[in-house]
Amino acid sequence: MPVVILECRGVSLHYQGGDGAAGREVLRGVSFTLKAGERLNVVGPSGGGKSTLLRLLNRFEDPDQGKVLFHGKDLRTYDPLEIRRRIALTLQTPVMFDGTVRDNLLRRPRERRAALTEADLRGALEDVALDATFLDRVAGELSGGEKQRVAIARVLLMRPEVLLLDEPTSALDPVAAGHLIETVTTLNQEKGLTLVVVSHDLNVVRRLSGRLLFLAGGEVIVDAETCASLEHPTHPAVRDFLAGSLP
Amino acid sequence: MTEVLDIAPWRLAAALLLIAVVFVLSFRERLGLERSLLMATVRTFLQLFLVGYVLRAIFALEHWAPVLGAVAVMVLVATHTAVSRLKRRVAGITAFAAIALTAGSGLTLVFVTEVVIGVRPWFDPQYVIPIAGMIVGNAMNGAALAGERFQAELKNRVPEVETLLALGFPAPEALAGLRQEAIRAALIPRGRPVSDRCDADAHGGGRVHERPLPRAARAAVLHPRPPTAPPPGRGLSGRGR
Repeated sequence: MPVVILECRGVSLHYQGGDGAAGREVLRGVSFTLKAGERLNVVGPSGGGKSTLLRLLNRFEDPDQGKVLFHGKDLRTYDPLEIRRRIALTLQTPVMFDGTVRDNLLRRPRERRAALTEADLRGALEDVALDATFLDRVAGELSGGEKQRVAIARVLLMRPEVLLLDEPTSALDPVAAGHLIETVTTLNQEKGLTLVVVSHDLNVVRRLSGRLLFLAGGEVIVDAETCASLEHPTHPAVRDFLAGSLP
Repeated sequence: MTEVLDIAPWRLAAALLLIAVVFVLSFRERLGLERSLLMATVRTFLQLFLVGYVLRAIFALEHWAPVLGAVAVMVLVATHTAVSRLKRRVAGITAFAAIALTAGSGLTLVFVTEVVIGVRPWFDPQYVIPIAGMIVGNAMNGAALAGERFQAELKNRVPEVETLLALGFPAPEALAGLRQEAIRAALIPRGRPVSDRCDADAHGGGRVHERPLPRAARAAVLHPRPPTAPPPGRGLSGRGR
């Protein structure tokens, strides 16, 4: 039976307004568990707290209330650098640094860069369905889908246990988006990589299947199996979202 | 030529003619600067008048304590001015700027007065006070420029910084590029070509990212705060990584 790898217990977070302005509560009493090897879709209207939730999971933010547990231990007891290696995050817009794809894959703290071999780099590209010829291509000249794959390959080299993807297909055409989802599903199924994917695109969510966490107004509205939740939505907020009346 | 010039009051008053030129220009070109010019002139006049009396007292005392006190006041005013130019206040920034300005200006002042000029006695206010004014003024401009540039770069390069943090870089390393830009901005000679300034300013500008930086990066910007008193945007985690 898969073990619980991540757990949110009553997590709340608010962003303080600038210059004494009133703060905004982004997450409110969020609770869920994530088992090793699961695929979790985080879905919901804009401003619902989806991306903030991802940022909590790799310690870009810390909760005001509640706690996030990783392997049963409070995330705050871990070294943030260790957490970011074990729970990797890729951003909505992949950032490519100057130089080639190889330079980008090697862009990491010195002690970790030294441990990477040519085979590691080729293996990481292979994992994201790119061949070794990409290693010497200029990263800035790649297509959006290729950049997103390189960004995923770059974090895969850290050998994470959990991969957090923030809107990975938002800038991709449907074909490229489909290929990317196929790639990350393969990573999940063949390598047992636990996935948490924030997406607006319901096609992407359906293809990824797994579990669905519907967040609205910073609260978990639905936590259930993805396909069933989308085919037979029971909550009005989910129905509105599917009908396109929620942003 | 070592004697001190005695400037007659009518000569000082003649300086007002230069302001009058600007005043007339503003009036003729309808720039609307007359009121602020008038206010600035009166304020400057009063400030220099008061400073003159204070300096006269300091000169008369012939003691190191008031001289150092005057330098300390300069550093405090410079700290306040430099910090007030920042668009976003960060916890601990005033103390940080005060330490930086005191250390930087202090060491430079000692070097210039002791090694370069050889002022005797070492606190002679005739030399120490004007030289300190120039050094502290330059340090203040440098600190303000560095701070402004750092914040502008930070606002403009959030995705890059976040990517580096996500790749396991400690915050100081993730922010190293921004720090270099800030130091460069502070050290560029004041007489650089206008075109350079425009390029630099364009580079430092950019769109505003609504989401605050990760805590780790914010913590590295300056000192962490206790979790109960978060800075603008969000609180610092206090890990300083």
